Amino acid sequence: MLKKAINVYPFLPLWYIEKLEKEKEKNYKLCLSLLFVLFSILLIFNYSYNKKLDSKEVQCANYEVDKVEIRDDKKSNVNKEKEIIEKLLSLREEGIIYEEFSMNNQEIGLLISFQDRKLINKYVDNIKAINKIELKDMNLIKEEEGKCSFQLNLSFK
Amino acid sequence: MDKEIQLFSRKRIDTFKYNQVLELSQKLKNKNIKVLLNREDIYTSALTLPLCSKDSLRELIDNEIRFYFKKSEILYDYTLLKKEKQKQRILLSCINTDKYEAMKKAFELCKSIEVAPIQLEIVNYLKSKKLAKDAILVVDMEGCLYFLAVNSYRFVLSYIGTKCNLEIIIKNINNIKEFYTNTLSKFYINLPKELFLINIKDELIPEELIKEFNCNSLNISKKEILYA
Repeated sequence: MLKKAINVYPFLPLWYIEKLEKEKEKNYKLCLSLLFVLFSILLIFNYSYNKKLDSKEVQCANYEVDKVEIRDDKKSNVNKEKEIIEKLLSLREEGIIYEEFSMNNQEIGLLISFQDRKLINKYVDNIKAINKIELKDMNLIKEEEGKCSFQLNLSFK
Repeated sequence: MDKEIQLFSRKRIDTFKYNQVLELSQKLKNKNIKVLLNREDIYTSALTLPLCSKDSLRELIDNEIRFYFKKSEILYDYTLLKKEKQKQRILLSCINTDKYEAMKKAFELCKSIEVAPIQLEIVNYLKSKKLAKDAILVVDMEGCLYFLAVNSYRFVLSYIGTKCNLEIIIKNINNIKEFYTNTLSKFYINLPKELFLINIKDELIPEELIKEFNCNSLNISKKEILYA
């Protein structure tokens, strides 16, 4: 029994096969160019997105460096404070904005705005969960349309 | 008789002389065309070639064709007969048409073309009717006789003759049978048991043939085949 036909151009004249091959090659090149363009757009998009992320990171980093005043220059304390700052920064999420941040070797002062009042309890619970600090007091500074700002004083244990 | 190209459409048939092909080419610009080749002999041959990729296979076959016909303007098709460890056996069907140049002039501007010899269209027509899977076909089409051997709905052997050949053929049927058996064995195919006689009068068929084969008689017009 004969196997299925394997000739893709049955009885076609040579000049037409060459024309088809040229078209195939043209289409292949076109596909490659389109892929290249698409890839470039993706790269540019990815680059600008990363840059945007980086600039956010820089802002955070600047924030950390600008606002935190580390008065005790003992190495062990610096490490301890850095650790606490990192923990506090990690508590930020959408709707929680750190307005001011000050610190000395005994306490930390925080001015935080909450976009939604519901976020406060969760935030306070998270603060309490940090071992090396305790919440001394918490004062409402401003409240309007569900948004509010609190002054928090934290002390090192 | 001047060579002609016939253009079929659902409504009518236009006939053009070869020297009118330029006019034809403008008429067919950007159209999808199927070219039907009439009265063309199809040479079949079994080639043994090394195992290779499809592209290399095409190149090898091109070279074989150039070697056999001493030119490359040959229309051909091929099918895999048998694949072994290091070699493959290919069934090659070639048409050495004198219409090659005219076809180029007429159809160069077409969007797409498909070339089909009438023998292939007959086999495809019978296939669409689920007839003649493995069979010998003797077809009278517009005064031209086509002798075809079909295996798995694909023609393996094709010979062309005129109507007056038929009586000679019938007289020498045993020799022809032997020839068919020997040639088909090269393609690893046994002589089919079915015989289809298309557009051939029953009285011409000898008793001996009816006893030997499972004979079927059909009448099919060219238009039926074209518009199936």
